[in-house]
Amino acid sequence: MKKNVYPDNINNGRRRNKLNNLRVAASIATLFTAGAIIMGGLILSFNSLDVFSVPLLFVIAGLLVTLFFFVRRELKISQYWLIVLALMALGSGVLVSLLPTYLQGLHVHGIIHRSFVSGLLLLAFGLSGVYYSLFYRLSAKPRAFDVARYPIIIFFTITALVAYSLIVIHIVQNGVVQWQWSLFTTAFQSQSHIIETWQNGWPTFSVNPIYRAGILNHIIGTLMLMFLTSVISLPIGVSVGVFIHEYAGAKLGGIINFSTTALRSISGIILAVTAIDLLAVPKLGTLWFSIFHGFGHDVNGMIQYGRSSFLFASAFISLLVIPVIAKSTQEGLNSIPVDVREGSLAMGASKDFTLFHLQLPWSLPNIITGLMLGCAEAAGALTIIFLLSGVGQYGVSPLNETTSLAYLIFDIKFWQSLGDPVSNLKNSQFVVAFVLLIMTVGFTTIALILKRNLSKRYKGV
Amino acid sequence: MITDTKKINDQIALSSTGRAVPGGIMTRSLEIYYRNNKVIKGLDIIFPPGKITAIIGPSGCGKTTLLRSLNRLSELTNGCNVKGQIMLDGEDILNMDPMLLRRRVGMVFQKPNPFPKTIRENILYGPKALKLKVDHDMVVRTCLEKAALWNELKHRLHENAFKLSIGQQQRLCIARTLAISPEVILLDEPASALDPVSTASLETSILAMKGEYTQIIVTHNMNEARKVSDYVAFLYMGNLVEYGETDKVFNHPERPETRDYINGKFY
Repeated sequence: MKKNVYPDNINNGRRRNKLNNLRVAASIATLFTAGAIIMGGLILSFNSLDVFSVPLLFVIAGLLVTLFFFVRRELKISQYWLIVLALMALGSGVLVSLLPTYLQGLHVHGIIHRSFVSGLLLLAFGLSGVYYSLFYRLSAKPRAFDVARYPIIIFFTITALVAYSLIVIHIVQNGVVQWQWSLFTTAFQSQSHIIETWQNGWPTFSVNPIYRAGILNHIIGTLMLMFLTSVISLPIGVSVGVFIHEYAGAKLGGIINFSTTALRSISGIILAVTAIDLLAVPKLGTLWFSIFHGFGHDVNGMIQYGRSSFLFASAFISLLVIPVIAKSTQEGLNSIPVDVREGSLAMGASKDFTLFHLQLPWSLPNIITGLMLGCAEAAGALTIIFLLSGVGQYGVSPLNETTSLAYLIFDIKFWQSLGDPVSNLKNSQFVVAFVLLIMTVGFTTIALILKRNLSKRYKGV
Repeated sequence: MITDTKKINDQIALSSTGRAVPGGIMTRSLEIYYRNNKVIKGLDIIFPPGKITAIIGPSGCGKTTLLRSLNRLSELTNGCNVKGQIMLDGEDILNMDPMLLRRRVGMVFQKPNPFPKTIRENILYGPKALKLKVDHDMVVRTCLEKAALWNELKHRLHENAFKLSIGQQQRLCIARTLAISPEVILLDEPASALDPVSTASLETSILAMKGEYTQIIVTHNMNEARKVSDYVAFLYMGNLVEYGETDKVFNHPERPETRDYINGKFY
């Protein structure tokens, strides 16, 4: 006689009653294991809850063994994994109860509370226990395979989401507290005005310190960096992409492709080292020195040179952005059907016309995505910015000293560590972070809207 | 192997005296290679001007390759090599500028391939690409009328071409080709992706253009070939097996292969 795989379907009253026993056991096990996950998270945060860990582990072990016997009786399957898991939970409980409250020695140079171990163990047994108990709670149907995995997937998803939202909440909360409107209307300035007066026929100099706290120049500087980086990297990146796709053969294209991908993965710090060496090459007073370093006039009318100019910094950032744009251009060109391109050529259109009126418009959404990623890098994700920027108090034109919000956050932290008594900015790093967050989110949104509209217009989708 | 050359030559003479229709194509010992593989093996054929010629034959016999070589689109395929002569109104197309040639020899593809633009822009793409000085509204209207699309689409000119049905897209591709006023139109299995209703309207469009353009149509559909074409060429393994007037080829084929293929008994 054929064995019934899904006992749920049996309409026998006695059996259904017994099956309910398995369901009840599985439900209780699900509840406890889910509780163990929550408790594990709590124990990792609060050491005092550690006392619950050992009993909970023993309870889980007991529930798993019960589940094993119910499964064996009802479904005629010996699910030995449950026993193994139960034994492991039991062993872990014993291990945790044997551990001293604080772990020291054993080359651990520090003090770790026992709850660290017990919390992680509870999470592990909780997650695996939920999987099994939920599986049998859903009467071991094929669909239960899928559903029983949901809690594990959802747990990790929620962990990631909570981490991100905590960061955003932290920045917004502190940013709102530290918010000063004056920061947005003032450009940062920290200079000394030297006043020359004549007394008894002799010149006397007195110093009048000028200090203005503000982030206006840093905001404009960030936008300037984004703009210059786009202007430099867009034509070059698109040209490289078009060249690889249209003109280079398989071999040359492969070589260029490989090298751009390799260049893409170069860390910004490696470029920054080169950039700093390059900055030292031109002699003071030469044209190249002015272009590389950037210059401006201070309140006394003296020329002041900076660390590096916007033009120089964005040229170096472009080196990292060009491969991204080239790659996305190529992807865009690849996605156009061969038929459509041949259709254009078959009308007698030149390759050039086809490229500019058909292929590039089609690839525009891809190119915009590449540019968006590039701009996000220019805005603050790059190490290169920290090493090439200054406070930029002498103006924001392409030939002034580079400055950006990302650098300012770093700089404010630096002042704090020095205990700078002058700076009003020292308590406003979260405002800066908030502004940077708004700018990044804003640019991403604009780019996405643009991408969608372009897709609709040029691809009809 | 050309069986009916004399009659066709008479036809050419007739058309050149009666109505001056340009666009006669003649090949002389045409050979096409894909790398070392000979796809077309010495072909001599005449496509008379102003007429519809159907090329039939089993898959892989070189129909599409032949068609693509007539406007030198085969050059875009890597490793494709054309030898021999293809004459368009007495000029060897292999010595012509490919862009000027493609302006005279338009092509409609197997799968509808409208440009990702509006219907109007699709029609005007050719004139813009070739910098033709034409009245845009006029061109759009006449081309759509010739392709029997004007009544359906006159209120939808600014919609994206992808929103049209697949049959309308294919007829739009024909209308688009007409905008550069070619002499020859190559149709590469234009109805293979269409349902019977769309196929019927496509055939109407093709028949409406008869006499004004030389049309060469590759097809797997015997009914279509019988319905629209004036002449039929049967190609097998890169060779021209039979060529003649449609009625004659379909009703009284000379070669047994042709008869078998037409009756669907082929190998």
